[in-house]
Amino acid sequence: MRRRTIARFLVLLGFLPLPGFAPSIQSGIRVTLEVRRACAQEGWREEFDAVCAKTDIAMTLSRDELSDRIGRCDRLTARIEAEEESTRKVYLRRLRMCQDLYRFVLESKPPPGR
Amino acid sequence: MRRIAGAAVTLLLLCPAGAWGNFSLPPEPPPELYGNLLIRRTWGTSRVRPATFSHWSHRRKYTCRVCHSELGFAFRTNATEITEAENREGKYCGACHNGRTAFGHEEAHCAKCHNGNLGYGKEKFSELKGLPATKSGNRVDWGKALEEKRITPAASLSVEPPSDIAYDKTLTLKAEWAFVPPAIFPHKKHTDWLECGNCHPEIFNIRKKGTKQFEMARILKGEFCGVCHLTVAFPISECKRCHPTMKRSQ
Repeated sequence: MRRRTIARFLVLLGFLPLPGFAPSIQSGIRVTLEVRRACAQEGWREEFDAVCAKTDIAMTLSRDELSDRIGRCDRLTARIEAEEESTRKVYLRRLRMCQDLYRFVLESKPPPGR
Repeated sequence: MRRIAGAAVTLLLLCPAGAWGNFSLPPEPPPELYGNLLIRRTWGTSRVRPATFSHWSHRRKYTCRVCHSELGFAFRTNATEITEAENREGKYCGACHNGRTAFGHEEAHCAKCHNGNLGYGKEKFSELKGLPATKSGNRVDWGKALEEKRITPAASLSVEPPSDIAYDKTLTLKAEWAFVPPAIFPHKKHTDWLECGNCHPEIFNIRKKGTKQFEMARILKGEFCGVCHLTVAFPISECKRCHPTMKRSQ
């Protein structure tokens, strides 16, 4: 009984300094969502950087490697399309540039066996 | 008399219209205005004055790829939908103009860009004195300035800086007319500033060999080399920089 009272007191103490705990819970949830969104964004940003920051080596990639990168760009497009408008605007353009370059280099390479 | 007229007609037929010497090169602005532009995407629908942008003041600190690749600015003026909200979120101009790297988007600074004045900030042009000189454009040989490390522009903001691009082949392009010597295209000079995806395949889609499509007439209309060499990079009036064995220039 005593333990329960102490526990109740501690819970109450946790909320007391706040003018109203409902908004703080909401803001907590918002922060969690933001963090989650940021983590999800980090995921595609890492992949984006891995695929597109090294377009300078496009000439040295094999046909298979180029095809793989084109596929990764397609998958990234789908992920970025789920982002908010300005992110879509900036990154989809960059992604298109990068994918177009890989396609261009792939098409410029002589077909296998030639 | 008939013979002379006949010879004149033959000569006219042999020399294509707009051949060397007859190109109407675009008028060149004063050095401090070369490469300056006004971004006026919403001008007319909003009361905000067009934003001024000077290439010479920015290219000292950043290579072209930073803005035209990393930040997503199109090469064509007004082709990018830049919004104030996005700038404040750290996109486009806001990537640097955030109050830390460069002046931010506080009200006190609005008129530094939104002034509608193409010559805004021209007093700073004197800072370029001492850089390798040329006869046209900004009167600065930007390529040489970079080579000699007189300027050290950053090649990246957030993405890991690209390593030196290994592809440095210099192409020799046969000219349209027999009396014009070939043009050269040094990849290295361009990859120092840009990345492959800036030009390929959107501007130069060269799957088939042949240079017939890179006509001067089309370059003068702002295609191919004209995307940059009419407005920002050295102007095409510097004939010898592309056609090095040409006897005359300008």
